[in-house]
Amino acid sequence: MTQNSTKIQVVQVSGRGTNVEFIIDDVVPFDQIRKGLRDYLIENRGMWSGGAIAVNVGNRLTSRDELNELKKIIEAGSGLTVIRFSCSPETMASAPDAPDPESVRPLQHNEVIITDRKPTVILQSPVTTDPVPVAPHIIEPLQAFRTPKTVPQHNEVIAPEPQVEGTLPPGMRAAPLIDCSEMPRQTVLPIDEASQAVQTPESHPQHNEVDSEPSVDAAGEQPLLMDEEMAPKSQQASYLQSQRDTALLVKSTCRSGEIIRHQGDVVVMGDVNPGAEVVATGDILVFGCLRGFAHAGSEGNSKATIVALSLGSPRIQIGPHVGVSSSNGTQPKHTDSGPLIAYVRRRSIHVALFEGRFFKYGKGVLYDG
Amino acid sequence: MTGRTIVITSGKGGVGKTTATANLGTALAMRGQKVVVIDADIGLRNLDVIMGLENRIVYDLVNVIEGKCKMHQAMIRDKHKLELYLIPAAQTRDKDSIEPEQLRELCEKLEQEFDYVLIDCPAGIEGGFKNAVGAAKEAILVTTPEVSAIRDADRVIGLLEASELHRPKLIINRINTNLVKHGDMMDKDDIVELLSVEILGLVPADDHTITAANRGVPVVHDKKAPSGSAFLRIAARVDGDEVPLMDLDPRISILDRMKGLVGLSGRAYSHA
Repeated sequence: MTQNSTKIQVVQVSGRGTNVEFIIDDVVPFDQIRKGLRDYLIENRGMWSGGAIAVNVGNRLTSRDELNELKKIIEAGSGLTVIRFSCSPETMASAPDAPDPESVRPLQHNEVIITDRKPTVILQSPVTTDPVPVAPHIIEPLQAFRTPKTVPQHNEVIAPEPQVEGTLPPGMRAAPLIDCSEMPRQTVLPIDEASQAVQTPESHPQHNEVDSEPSVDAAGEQPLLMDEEMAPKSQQASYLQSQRDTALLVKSTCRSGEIIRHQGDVVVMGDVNPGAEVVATGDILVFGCLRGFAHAGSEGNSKATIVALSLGSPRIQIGPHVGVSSSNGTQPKHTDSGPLIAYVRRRSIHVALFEGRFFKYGKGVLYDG
Repeated sequence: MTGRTIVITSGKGGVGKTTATANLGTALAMRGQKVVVIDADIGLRNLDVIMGLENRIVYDLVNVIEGKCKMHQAMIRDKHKLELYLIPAAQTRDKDSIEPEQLRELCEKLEQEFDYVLIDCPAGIEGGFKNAVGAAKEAILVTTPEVSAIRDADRVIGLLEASELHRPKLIINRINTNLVKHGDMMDKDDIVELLSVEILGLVPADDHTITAANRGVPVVHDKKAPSGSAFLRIAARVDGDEVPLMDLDPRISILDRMKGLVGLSGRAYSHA
């Protein structure tokens, strides 16, 4: 991140597979580390939603108290759980009560390739607040664009504290979904590389993907896979399973060239512009105009739906079914009719006025832009 | 003195970045500001031609960055004796000859001396774009009311935000009021709605722009040209004045409409 590079950078993030590590600078005095670490976590608040992190203190000689303090700072400043401290072999300091690695939560397998922007810095309020009340942020899209000041310009991905399995009723879940194992990788890229990745995101999306990442590309028939190491652990599998329906909240306009790929539902508070892609295994909800490509139920779920205030996509897809607009018009036809829902009926995509997610939709209109 | 470094970019080529840079620079200088314009389009330099300074080039941007000459040696003063200077691009080199950091350093030095440092960004989103954008602290986005240009602008806004250039401002160039009125061209409201950025100004399509560019005199010097006055208003807005957006609707002029009614009007739609 550019702002980091200009300051003293005390924290570096490195990721190996699904293991993410904070490497703490070992030259700077400890006070500065403390401050730098806090600043770093504040700056990148939305990025760390949850999961496990290892901390590498390098050649620094640290006491147990200092390590505990680091642990406290990291855990308080983000949703992360510090599982391990490591150091260079010369400085064998004892790690604090590191939890048994077996109990470590599996990292989630969701992917947010918002290649063009920084992941999320939410400065004003902690993201760990209740994920549900999004209402204050909802802006009437038309109004919003007349007065662009109110449009959230940052790409904000709400990523609250990881929730313990089963604490919320299924409908209420709106939990955190940034894959910790890859977000850091994007951010540690030096500027040049990062912007390279930005420019041709489609050409190497795998750059951002974890090796064991299940492919949700293209038709996405492939079911959710788990890491080999995780697979045998049924408890973890069920956790992963439960995380699948969580929603990703994107609080900005998705611009051309951006891909949002997510296991679960996606809510976009803004437009999805032409050239942008939203691919979700669940439903897609757009509080704005959907003009880009949207693929709901990307793992073959034809029951998924796409809801948008107006639909102007040249092509949308639900499960394996594709809806293609016959018109070339850039302007959506249904601008003032109210929110629309696209669903699969008789193996083709139909559109009707949105009357609730579980309303029995009748005939509807065949999707036509 | 700490100036403002502004990059003028678009993504798509041929929408009028260079023209906008030349005119904005000239207009700001006419307002009494000290301005330097940098042509970052290395290998395809144009800004010097538009400003009519082609024959005065001795040193260029790459020479400055490589330390072959002093910063001031490469700065060419405007013909009209305004406080306007051009640092031309090298024609014989390519975009990889400079690094974003080097250009940023140069701009930081220039900011000490000038009120405005305008960078003319090359088309595309590759190396040259990164050089230009990396050096700037603000961005102005130029687009035309065409679907392709707007699509590219949308992409560029995303890239600008990735480079910490939030809230780019939009200039819509070459608006043909006649076509807009008949619904054959995108309206400014449609464009702003799609791109959701703040609008900085509208520039009508105007043949004066082309003739002025061919003569090497920025169109803001032409008092009669509607595009020239549009750029003056944009410069005022950049400079912090509150100027209402230009009304491009020719119907609004009651006098013209009455003239039209009695058959005297030959000018009602001449802006278009």
